[in-house]
Amino acid sequence: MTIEKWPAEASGFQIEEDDTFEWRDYGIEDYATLAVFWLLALDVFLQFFSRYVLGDSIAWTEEMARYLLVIVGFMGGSMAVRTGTHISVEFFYRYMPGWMARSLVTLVDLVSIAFFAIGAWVTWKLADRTTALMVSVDIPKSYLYYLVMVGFFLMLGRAIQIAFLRWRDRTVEHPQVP
Amino acid sequence: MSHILAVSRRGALISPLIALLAVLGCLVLVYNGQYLLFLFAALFTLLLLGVPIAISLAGSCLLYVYLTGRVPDVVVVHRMINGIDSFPLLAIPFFILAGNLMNNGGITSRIFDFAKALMGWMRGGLGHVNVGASIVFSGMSGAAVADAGGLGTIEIKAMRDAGYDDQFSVGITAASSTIGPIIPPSLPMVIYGVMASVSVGQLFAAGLIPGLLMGVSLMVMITIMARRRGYPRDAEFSIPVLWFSFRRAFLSLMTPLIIVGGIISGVFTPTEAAIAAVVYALFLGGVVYRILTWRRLLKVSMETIETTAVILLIVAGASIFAWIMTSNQVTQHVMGLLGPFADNPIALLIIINLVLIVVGCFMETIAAITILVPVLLPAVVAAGIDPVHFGVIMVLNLMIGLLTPPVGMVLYVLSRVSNISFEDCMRGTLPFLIPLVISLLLVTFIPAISLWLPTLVYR
Repeated sequence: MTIEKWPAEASGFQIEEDDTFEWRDYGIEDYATLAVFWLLALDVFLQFFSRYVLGDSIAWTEEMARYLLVIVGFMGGSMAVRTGTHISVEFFYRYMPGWMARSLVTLVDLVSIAFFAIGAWVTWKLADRTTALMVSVDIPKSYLYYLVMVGFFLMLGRAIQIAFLRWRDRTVEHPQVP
Repeated sequence: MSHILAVSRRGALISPLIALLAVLGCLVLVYNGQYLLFLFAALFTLLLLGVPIAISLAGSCLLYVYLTGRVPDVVVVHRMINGIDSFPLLAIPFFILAGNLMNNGGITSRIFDFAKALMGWMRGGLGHVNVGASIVFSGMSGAAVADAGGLGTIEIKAMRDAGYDDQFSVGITAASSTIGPIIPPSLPMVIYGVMASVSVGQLFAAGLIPGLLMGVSLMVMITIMARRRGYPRDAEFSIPVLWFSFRRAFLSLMTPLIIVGGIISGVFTPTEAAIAAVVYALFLGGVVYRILTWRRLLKVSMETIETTAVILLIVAGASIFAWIMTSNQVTQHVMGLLGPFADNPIALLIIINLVLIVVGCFMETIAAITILVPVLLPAVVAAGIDPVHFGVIMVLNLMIGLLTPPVGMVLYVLSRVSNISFEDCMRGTLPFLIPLVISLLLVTFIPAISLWLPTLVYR
């Protein structure tokens, strides 16, 4: 015996639909990262496809996939800075008086800004010194490093923005920034 | 209320005191020229202050490099990039994407309904359903946090609606979500495989039986608790409902078969399995169930990028940290320390388990694996322990760490999605640590639990 309709008493419920993708919820740089991400997906699919269907994987797909992954990591990092999803130990903030938490948050913001700034500068030096080409294609490997540097700059910009907003509003909460 | 205030007042004194001591410690170490110890102290201090983990790792290394001046600073960034420039790591974004697509494509709720029809009639039924659904879902998703945030939301809501108390509901949801990274696919196992140069396929195969063991031991615990507390049976057992929900969930239930079966039988490499899972989830959500819209796909992609970047930057930061440790012979020191136990694998494993449990409480999973594998693995291998077996032990330890403060990621996620206080989440999870620790001991001391399947398949 089969039933065609879901019986009322055993009803499964639906998750609340939060189908609210809004274009303005994301920054311009996030769309650039999105493009890189789908390029990566396409690249890996191409490799998968060529190995199974054509029997031999296209040589450059593997190397390119690794580099695209690196770029997604560093450029996507700016989205996580903007939304405050980088994982940190927030446990001790629960047991602190407000003024202390606020000053600590400012300190953390300053440390992050300093780190991203140094990171961008050091990556620029690395890119500047790199003369080698990629292994499977004739593209200078420094391009990869320049894109990582762009990632650091994006994270730097967002970190400054977040730090400023928090300082202005005197809050510990992570501000909503489109 | 007064008791909470007392805690916060005492805590208000303790936490800044620790931070101050940590900063002072760093300065003393620099003054004494003990730069390697300074590296650890700096990492600890930054983490304590609440600096994001990735920045704490890479930042303390940067300070170390500037202080010693032995290597140029470009090495830091170069090592960070090299740390994620790895082909097996490509599995990570696609397993995350697949998991997000399933959570958004109507797959999760179908699996939950099927598990309910299958096991809801037992005493404390929704607890068992919770574990069962997590086991099935862990065959498609590789991160405990994804399991808790997606499936967990449904599970807690269902248990609340059925009248279970919040602590029990959150506790079992948290505990069952740790099965996710033990049963393949698993992001921590991918990272372990990369760091230890072990086949990720073998690691995946090794995790299957320990994951099922965890599920069974959690169910035993639920049965005991349900008897004691007199929990109700949540549904009548009915073949038509079971059959209906099975048919409704059938295509979703195929997902773990494709992924787990594909990897264990060697048809897919883990990365390919991840891509196959994405394609299948797109097909199910977009074509069959028609629940996945373009807008939703964009949102899911953005969420995936965000999670991927967070994980990759932690791996990057932890790689430079691990590199500094290995190039300073920390590995040899650890081998020297563990030397007396080299001919006694059981004692060695007990010690390492204790270390891992403690580290798991304080360190994020991915960072812990990246840093500890190069340090611990040589000693472990020297004692004759199989690196695949050790991988399962390590990930299982760190999963238990996900359920304990201060870095209990799963508890934070569940507390956020369920609006149950962090303290209640902690209290609710406590009893379920017992079955998990028992599973850990069994997996540690009976290598066959993890090694039987990979030996069968790969050798």
